[in-house]
Amino acid sequence: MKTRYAIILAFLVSAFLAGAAGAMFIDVGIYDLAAIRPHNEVERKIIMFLKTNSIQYHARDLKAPGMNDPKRIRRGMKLFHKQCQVCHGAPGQDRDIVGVGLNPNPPPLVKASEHWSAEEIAWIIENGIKMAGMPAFGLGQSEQDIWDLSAFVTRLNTLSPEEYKHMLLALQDDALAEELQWVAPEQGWKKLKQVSNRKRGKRLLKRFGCTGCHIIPGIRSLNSYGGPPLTNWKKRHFIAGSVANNPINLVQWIRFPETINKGTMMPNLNVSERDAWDMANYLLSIEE
Amino acid sequence: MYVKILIIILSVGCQFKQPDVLDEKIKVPDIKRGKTLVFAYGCGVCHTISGIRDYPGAIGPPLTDWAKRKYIAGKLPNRMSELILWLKNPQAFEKNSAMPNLGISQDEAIDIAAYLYSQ
Repeated sequence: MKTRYAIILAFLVSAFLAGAAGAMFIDVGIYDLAAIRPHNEVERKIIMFLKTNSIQYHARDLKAPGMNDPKRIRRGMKLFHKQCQVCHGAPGQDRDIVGVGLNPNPPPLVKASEHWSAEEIAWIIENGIKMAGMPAFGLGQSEQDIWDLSAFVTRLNTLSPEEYKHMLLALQDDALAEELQWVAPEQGWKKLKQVSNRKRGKRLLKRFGCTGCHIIPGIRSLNSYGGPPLTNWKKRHFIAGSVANNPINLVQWIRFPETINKGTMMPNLNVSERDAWDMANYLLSIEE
Repeated sequence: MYVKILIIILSVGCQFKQPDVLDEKIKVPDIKRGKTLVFAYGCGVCHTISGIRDYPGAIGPPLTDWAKRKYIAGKLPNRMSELILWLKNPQAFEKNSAMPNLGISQDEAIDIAAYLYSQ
């Protein structure tokens, strides 16, 4: 009997002490609210986890209308340029000072469509995200505006900085707009699967001496810092900071680097088309 | 004697006071502040950088082992002076670079560069 009371008493005392410590922590103000310093790792993980789950849950009943419509994407870009670029920037485009100092940092949206569906993107735009500085853009805008924006944000995934500039000019210029690829062009993923050989690609990367300049996971490279490491290449978004990383662009880059980035140190090694597809296959499988 | 020494000291002092020598502020790089700035400017959102945990930044190239890298953006020799210029205005070297101009000041660029080279 006595021990039971002792346990209850110990429990109450420790609960009280924990509460008092919590109150003191809040009262003293040690917790650093400064946006310039990062969250600690535990906080960050909880926030990211909560964000993903909450958005997926709340957007579950939305159904996107036809999104691959050039007119919709062009309208979406007009809104994007006015409302989103301030904080999120765009490929090669500046953010406003408002967007630079935010915590969490407003992510570039080029990869948005890899994390979120068109419906989830629309939900985020319409409702905003608490504690993240993301405003609810649904206020005062029509449903169509939100879907237009979502369509353009999805298109950002395949856009190069140069194309973005052309599209900016085309917002006012109907004749120019006719010439541009508003809907994402073929990326070559299907062809990569069908025609190329990963193992052969690996051998070729070795034979062409790519590891002389690049660190390539899976292939021995010693102190190769002439070019950037090709680690985690599957997830890499840009090639040479110039075009989106997809099979067609990567093959073009391997064969004719100068056509993608003028003045680059990457040499033209006279790689045949077939060889380039195989090399691209190996590179695009690197996940470490 | 003392007066002579005083005059010498003063005149030496005056020589150093010439505008092109002393008035140009030479900033000592602050690696710790550089790290704070690398986080605050969101560099980690696009780049994988040792010591900076943000999103899994894979939009641009990883900046791990930066001091060993030979070139900046596949063009410029990787030196402190060039890196500072690149950080302040990437478009000056590559018109269509995906890297945005973030409005980084000279002093901030020095600290950020110092942090990157310290990794």
